[in-house]
Amino acid sequence: MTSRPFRSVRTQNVENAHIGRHARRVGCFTTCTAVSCVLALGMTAPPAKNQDAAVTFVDVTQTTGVRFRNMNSPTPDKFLIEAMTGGVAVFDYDNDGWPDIFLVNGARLTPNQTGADVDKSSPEYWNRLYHNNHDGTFTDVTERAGLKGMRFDMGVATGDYDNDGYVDLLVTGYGGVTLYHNNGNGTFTDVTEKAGLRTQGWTTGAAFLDFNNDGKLDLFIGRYLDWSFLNNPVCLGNTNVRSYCHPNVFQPVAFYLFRNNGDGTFTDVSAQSHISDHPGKALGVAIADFNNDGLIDLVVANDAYPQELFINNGDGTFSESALTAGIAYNDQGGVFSDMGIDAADIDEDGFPDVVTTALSYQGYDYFHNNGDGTFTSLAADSGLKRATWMLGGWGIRVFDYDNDGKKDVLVLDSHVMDNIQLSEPDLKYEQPPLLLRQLAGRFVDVSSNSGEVFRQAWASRGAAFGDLFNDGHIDVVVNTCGGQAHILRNEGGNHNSWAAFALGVCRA
Amino acid sequence: MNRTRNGWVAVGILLLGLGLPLSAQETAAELFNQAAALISNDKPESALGPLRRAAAMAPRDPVVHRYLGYALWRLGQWDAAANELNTAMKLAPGDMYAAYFLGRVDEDRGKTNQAILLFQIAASGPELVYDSVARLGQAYFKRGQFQMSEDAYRQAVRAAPLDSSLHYQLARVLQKNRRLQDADEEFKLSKRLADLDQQQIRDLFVLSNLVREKKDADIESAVTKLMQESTDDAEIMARLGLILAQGGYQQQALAPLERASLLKPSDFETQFNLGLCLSQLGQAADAETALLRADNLRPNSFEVNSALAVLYVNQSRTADAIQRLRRAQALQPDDPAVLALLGHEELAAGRYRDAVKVLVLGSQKRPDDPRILALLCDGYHEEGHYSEALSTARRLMREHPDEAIGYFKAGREMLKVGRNAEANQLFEDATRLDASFEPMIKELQKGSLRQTGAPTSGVLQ
Repeated sequence: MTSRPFRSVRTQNVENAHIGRHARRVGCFTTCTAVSCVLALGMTAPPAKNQDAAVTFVDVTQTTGVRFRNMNSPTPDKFLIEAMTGGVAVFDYDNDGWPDIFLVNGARLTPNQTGADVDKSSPEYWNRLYHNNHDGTFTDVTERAGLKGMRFDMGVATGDYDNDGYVDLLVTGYGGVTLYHNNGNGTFTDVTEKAGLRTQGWTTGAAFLDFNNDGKLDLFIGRYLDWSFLNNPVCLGNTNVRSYCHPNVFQPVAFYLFRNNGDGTFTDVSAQSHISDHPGKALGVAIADFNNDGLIDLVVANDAYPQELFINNGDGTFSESALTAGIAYNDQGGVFSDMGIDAADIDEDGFPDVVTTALSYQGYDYFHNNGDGTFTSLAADSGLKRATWMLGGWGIRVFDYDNDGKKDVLVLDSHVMDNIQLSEPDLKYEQPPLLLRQLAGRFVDVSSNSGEVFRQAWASRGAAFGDLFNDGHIDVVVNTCGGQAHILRNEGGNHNSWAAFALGVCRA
Repeated sequence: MNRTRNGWVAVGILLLGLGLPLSAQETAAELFNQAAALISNDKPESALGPLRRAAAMAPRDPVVHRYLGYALWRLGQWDAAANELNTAMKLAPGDMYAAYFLGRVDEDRGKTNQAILLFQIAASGPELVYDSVARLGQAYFKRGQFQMSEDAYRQAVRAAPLDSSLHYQLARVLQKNRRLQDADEEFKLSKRLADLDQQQIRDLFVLSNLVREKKDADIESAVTKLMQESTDDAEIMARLGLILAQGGYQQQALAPLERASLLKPSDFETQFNLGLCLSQLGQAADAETALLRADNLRPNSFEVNSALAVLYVNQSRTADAIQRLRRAQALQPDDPAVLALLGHEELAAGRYRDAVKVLVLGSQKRPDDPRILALLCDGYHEEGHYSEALSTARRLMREHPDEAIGYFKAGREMLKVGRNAEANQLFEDATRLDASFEPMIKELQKGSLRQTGAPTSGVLQ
């Protein structure tokens, strides 16, 4: 169960939540008479299997009708927010069993701007909701849904915080967050104030999670750093050209944790939970029960700052223990630029592991969970470091792309700096996605055999994953910084079996 | 500030002695210099072309292959990099820089065993190649050889005590060695160092270089500056004191360490370092006070118990020394220095059986240490086990034929059993190797010297 600013979050177990790999909602839930029940619907093994056939991804954006361009409004002032947007979510907002798409956008910025107010009024800057038409196409329903947005936005998290059966939306951005309540009729209402979500600063990665196991989704909101339009120093690259400043120029900031009161409102428990005792430079967050004690923990992807692992003490507080757990730094004890993160039990030993991205020449990392509260980096041994040495990573996802039962990794890449080639000609700003297949405990780069999309270079940022076409194969939606969004259809190929389950909890 | 990575840049390598015809050498040299400049400017991809052409012109030049290997490694072409670096090593087997970078390539490719061999080569010279010792520590860690990993990290930390990442890695291996309290301290220290003001870190780094180069006048002004500007920063004071004490400037280290102790009396490391510094300055009473404070803060510290033991040995407080040495031995049962010193003190206390027991263990752990065998010989002798004593003395002679002590001890045992002629021959051998044994031999021959005297005192060092 993960979240990062640039892709969606899967919701934790509450009514009507999608659970598990290849989740698919088919029709409505059956009426249950028990206190709770689980409904399962399956589909399996279509044509004959061909294990040797490559599973490929195809960029089908043009045929889907999704025409989204992220507007990051680059200025000569190199406002840092320009480099960091935007996120994306795949979620079924209307419960029709077909995943829809939400794409996050920037806003209009003006050179020499000093105030925090930005102009998002023009349609080109709106965030966008695309409804899945069930036929491979999507319809822009942003205006009707009321999801245009008001800020220079960054990320998105999804979850049914009020347990009404409809997935709600939290959008993060510069200036705070916006919580949109899903009204169940195709529209959303901004309930941020009513819900008591008072936030400020540059919010980024967020996650809905039930940290106190009361059946109601709480909310973790990460923030990046103390940049502002006024605190925007001139940073020059090696070639004396103005560039985006390194995160080290700015101070870390505290994160938020809000407890769900169960009445549509939240209480800020950042201080009492000790979450705000540990500031960071968050760009992403992954949630999982890392120590298998039945309580959800968090690991925060900090950019050029030690990672943070918040272990849930079960009493409403968290202990930050990344240092002693061996996940704060890379295996050489150095910080790295973690811009994307995911948690999953890669080696199937019962303990969730963590994968992180980084900048070029750092290599992405695979922190194996030793099951004793510590992690060991397997970046080199797993082949991950080798495959990612020259890349900068954003959206990253551990999932089984080829339905062989093993967890693979897909990463969306790009350098942070749009002018990186001026100072480092060996590096590229726009970079291709990377697909790593897990084979015998190692990750093998199969990008070159998996479709033309892996030869396309983009300024990728967020990525969201889901079976958009209900064919049993996980597809990918990519948001790019200042570029077009891409929908990558997983064409299958090996015809491996798959099953879909729609799970729900019904009250008698 | 540009958002780039500061890569390893191999600099300062002169293109000399390529063994080429003059015209070709000039061309290859020009290409190499051009490439070296590009690499220095962090442009390895641009350097590839010139380096490949230089390698074609000067295929037997190891430095060109090394640079080419380095550039390929930076660009993620690790198999090709390994080929070039292997070529460099074949052409110049002692090239520690090639060994280092090939180690880095193998480390990145997950080939830990090969990386270890290469980092061992890189770390074997009189001057460390980059962070080869720390890399070695990491490789041992990956292979599950945690004690060797700890030893390597400790060596790395001694060379760069302000490097927070080294303390972090040391903490991780201490964790694996189940020394959780020590690990916790290292984790905390790592965090404190990471949080230090970067300017202060730079000042301390400059000072550590001055200390290494023994530039006394500059050291004085640097210390004065830091004492003035950071007098209320316990961490800086502690680091300042440590750098000075480790560099042999114990007298100058006292003020910052005492200041750190005042500012942060609960800091174990500060109390320990203050105690050690006072001990080295001969201020035994104050040293004991500080070390006992450290002992209270961390009762099961091997380092504190060892330091107190040495303090007591120097004061001839044998019983106190034995008590501390036994605690130290319980914490690290196989430490040869502790075993030797404990054996020495047990001998001094007349507990010969205990001494022999400890020294036998010590001789197993450190068979190459002549002092332990000499002490063991004394232990057997005092117990009246002359044949064992003689056999140990002979082992000493056999394993350390250039050390006079073996011949001296063997001669003593021969004398004891009345084989005077053989004894005299051995004594002659001993004095030939080390004339300072002559007075003791004369005393022995008079039959008036106890056997646990001066020749074994070196164990206290």
